[in-house]
Amino acid sequence: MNTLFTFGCSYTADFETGNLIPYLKYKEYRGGTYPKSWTTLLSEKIGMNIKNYGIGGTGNQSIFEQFCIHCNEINENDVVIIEWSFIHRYRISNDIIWRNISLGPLLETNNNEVHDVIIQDRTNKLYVDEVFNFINLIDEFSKSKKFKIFYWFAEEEMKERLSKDMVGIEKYIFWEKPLMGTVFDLGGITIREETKHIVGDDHFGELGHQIQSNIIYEHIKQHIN
Amino acid sequence: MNTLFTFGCSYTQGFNRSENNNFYRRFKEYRNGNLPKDWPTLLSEKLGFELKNYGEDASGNNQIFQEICSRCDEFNDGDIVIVGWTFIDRYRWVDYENNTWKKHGSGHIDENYITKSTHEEIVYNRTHPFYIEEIYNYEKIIDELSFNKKFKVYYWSAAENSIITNIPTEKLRKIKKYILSDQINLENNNLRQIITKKSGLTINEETNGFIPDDHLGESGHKVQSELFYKHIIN
Repeated sequence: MNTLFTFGCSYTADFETGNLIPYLKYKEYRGGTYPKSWTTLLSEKIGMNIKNYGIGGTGNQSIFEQFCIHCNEINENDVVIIEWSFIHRYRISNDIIWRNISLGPLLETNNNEVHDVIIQDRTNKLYVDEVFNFINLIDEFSKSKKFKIFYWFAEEEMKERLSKDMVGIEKYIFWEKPLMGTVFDLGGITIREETKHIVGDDHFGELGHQIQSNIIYEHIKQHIN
Repeated sequence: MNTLFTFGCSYTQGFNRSENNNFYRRFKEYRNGNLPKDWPTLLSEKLGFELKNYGEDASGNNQIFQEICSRCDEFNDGDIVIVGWTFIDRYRWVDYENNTWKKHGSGHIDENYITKSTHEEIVYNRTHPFYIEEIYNYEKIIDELSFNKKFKVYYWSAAENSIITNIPTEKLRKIKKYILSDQINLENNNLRQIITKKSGLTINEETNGFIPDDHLGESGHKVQSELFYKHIIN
């Protein structure tokens, strides 16, 4: 049986490994179970094993490095879906692990001025180009190993900047509207809405994941064996 | 004809595109108007390969890897790719005026582009071994691509005391993709020391201190190309 590999940030990570405290509350609210994530649902639809390497909070450097670490596991006719995250996200080493950093003030003793400057630098389109260079290498690797590769973007700004080039290219899972908007239009709701604001988390809940898996399935089914 | 691709910093760029380098201009004058052949050129001649040298001075490892990403579709069956990793503290930063990458490393910086405190924090953070691990992870995908596309890939490091040489000697000896893996070690035998032992000189030494540049001169490039050639053909 072939395998579906997924890489990305919290929008790809499973609830179990998403590294988010609200998920634990969500589990409690649901009586001790998580719903299936879009990655699991999709693997069931296409009849493949699933290896989900999404990690909550990660930026594109980390997402690409995860792909490098696991690239030797991918075989012919496997399917790989990479979600690129927000370009301002960066990482620093903190002696034990990579620490992923995003928008907003740093909570600890780190230098907020330096943080602001780095975030500002990372809004430049050169960081978008960097992602497209990663894509160039992954595409070449995909061709050489004969697996199917698809990409999508969590960052709407990044997607919009590139939309003209992306429409109609099969490797890009592209929605005319932003991802969140499309899922909402089709009836998807967030964890916050699903739990009537008891759990303050704006990632998709059960229905949202079902709709996301359907959208991605509709896109990829015509391109896979 | 197959192609030799080289990637790296100034230790790979050699003397080509040297118009903007003041030391190289003076070296050319000192040598009565000519520059010696650099090691990528000499190596490509020995191998009978066409050369595409994508080395660029002052590049950090992210820049070097990005260059590989953007050129990887040029690699074909039978080609050889040599990647020269550089100092891990080097990083790149956006030059908003010109919308290009500005390259930085430890030492003096132009504070028009980045504040001293930001620069120092970034450089300090980049001394962590995670940035070396990152390089080894990049190598994983390059190695896989090399296996699938049937080109040969080799690595070496201008950062003599970190990347590659930090691998335990016993393990390193068995890894053929690292150039001179049978000789180099962290303590007393990095590539530069091996070149010196074989009478390879720097520009500074070749010009008797007249041009204070510690990149390799003619003899240094010659020795480096011979060492690389022997490693590759064996």
